[in-house]
Amino acid sequence: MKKRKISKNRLNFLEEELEFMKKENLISPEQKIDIIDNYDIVRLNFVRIILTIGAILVGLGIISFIASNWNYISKITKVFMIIGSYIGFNILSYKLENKYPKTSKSFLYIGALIYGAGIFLIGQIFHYEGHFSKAFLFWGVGIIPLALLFKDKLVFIFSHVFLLVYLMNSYNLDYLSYFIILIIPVLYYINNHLGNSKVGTFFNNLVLLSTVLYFLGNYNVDEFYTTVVFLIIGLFMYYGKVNVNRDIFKIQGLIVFGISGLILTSPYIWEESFKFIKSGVTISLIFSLLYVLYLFHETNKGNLISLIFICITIIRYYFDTFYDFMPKSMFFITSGAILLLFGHYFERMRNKRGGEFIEK
Amino acid sequence: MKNNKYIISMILPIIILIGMAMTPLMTYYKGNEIIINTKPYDPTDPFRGDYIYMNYDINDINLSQIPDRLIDKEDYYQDKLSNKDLYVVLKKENEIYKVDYLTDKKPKDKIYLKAKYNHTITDWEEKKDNEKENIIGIRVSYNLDKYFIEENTGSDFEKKAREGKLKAKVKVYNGYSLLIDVF
Repeated sequence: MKKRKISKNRLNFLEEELEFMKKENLISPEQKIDIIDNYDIVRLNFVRIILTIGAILVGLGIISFIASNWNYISKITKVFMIIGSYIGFNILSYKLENKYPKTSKSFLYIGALIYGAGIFLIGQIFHYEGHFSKAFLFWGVGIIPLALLFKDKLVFIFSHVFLLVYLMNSYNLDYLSYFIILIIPVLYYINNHLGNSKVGTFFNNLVLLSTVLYFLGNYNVDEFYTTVVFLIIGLFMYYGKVNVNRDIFKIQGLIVFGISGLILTSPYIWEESFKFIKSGVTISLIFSLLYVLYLFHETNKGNLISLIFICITIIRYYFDTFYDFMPKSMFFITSGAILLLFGHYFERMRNKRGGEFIEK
Repeated sequence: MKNNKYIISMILPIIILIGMAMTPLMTYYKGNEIIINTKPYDPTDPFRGDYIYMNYDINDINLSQIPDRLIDKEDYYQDKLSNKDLYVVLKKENEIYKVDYLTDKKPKDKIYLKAKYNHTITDWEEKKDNEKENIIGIRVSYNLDKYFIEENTGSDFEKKAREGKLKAKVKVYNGYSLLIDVF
């Protein structure tokens, strides 16, 4: 069996616990050794951190140098300089790969940063028009092969971050990139290839959710329906039978469900979408009740996130109702008391059953 | 395999970088040079540095320069024009190029710029019985709205721009427009 990798602290804790169990005669000394033998310490690699930070600083320096605009070199020379230095750093990385793998990696990172800087620089040299969110799309997509071939999680996460920047900045622009739909399965595939890390799954899902929002937003789908779509997606993520990192799907699902549910507790969103409803108060109240009941049901199963959303919902109603006509002192005392009650409820729940996401 | 890994991972970035530079470079070397009047101001882009946001005479197209079949005179929202490639044919008047007419068909043997519809221009000063009659033209945009400049040189440009003294030198090739200089 492959050894499980855990941090030194956690291994110490495990050792202490096993020692205690050994003393209590719950396990034999051999069993303790066998169990400990299944673990290996993950060492934080100092050299690697220094080299990665160094690479990022050099990359940022290059971006900043580029942003300061050099007028004395011809346009075509500038383009060749960018592509040349991109290739140059990759060659350096290649040459050092066997002897100094960590330094080689940082040259690879510099290459990826120069590539990104190059996109912006070409935009600058040729005075590219308009909003330049597309640069982040190019950057994010361009480094995907690097993440895949070099099995590099950092580059992989960065490609997600760039895609997210692109998606967040692309509402109501005059073009729509259907291309992003093709990328998403590739991202999930690569995460699988890289060993299905939790953080990878988290970012995969985040890009998928942002893409849905991007398309709904660009097709001018009504706010109400967008929220309902996310409510359903949240439930699917929460209950869906996924084999990979189910806990991440559950947490994200509940957050998506929680936020969209919270939006639907507002009467205005119902009134805006259904003109025949004179006042959205009744329907939003019915929804809020069902929403909070469902969250209570989830809380009962030991789910802390749902409790947080209940808390937000109640405080929201409390603010809406009382803020205007209550004396300030009373208002703060009552809000404080509500929070204290919730805090107490959290604590009781923790003692009682210990849920999955309980803080330590 | 080790070689392949490096080469394959570099293909896409290089294609993207060359792809981005290709049309502008072609325009730079093969395009026709024209001069147009500007009306700019200057913000900053954190990634690409200082630039001046440019507006030109040729951004505004009068009703008389638009074929009837292209414009809906009863509606502010020009659905027929949005998301459509438009071409603005230019004519030379005393060294400066100005709008001749707008068309949706690629012109031949003429100096033209590819444009996108932005919004409808209305004149609310003139009180008319029928509000719709206030439509006086449309505003379009070209690949010309930003001019990147050396760091900290923006204020000089801005001053000149406010005085309306700036002109732009542009190269045009197959409808693609590339800003060369602002002076």
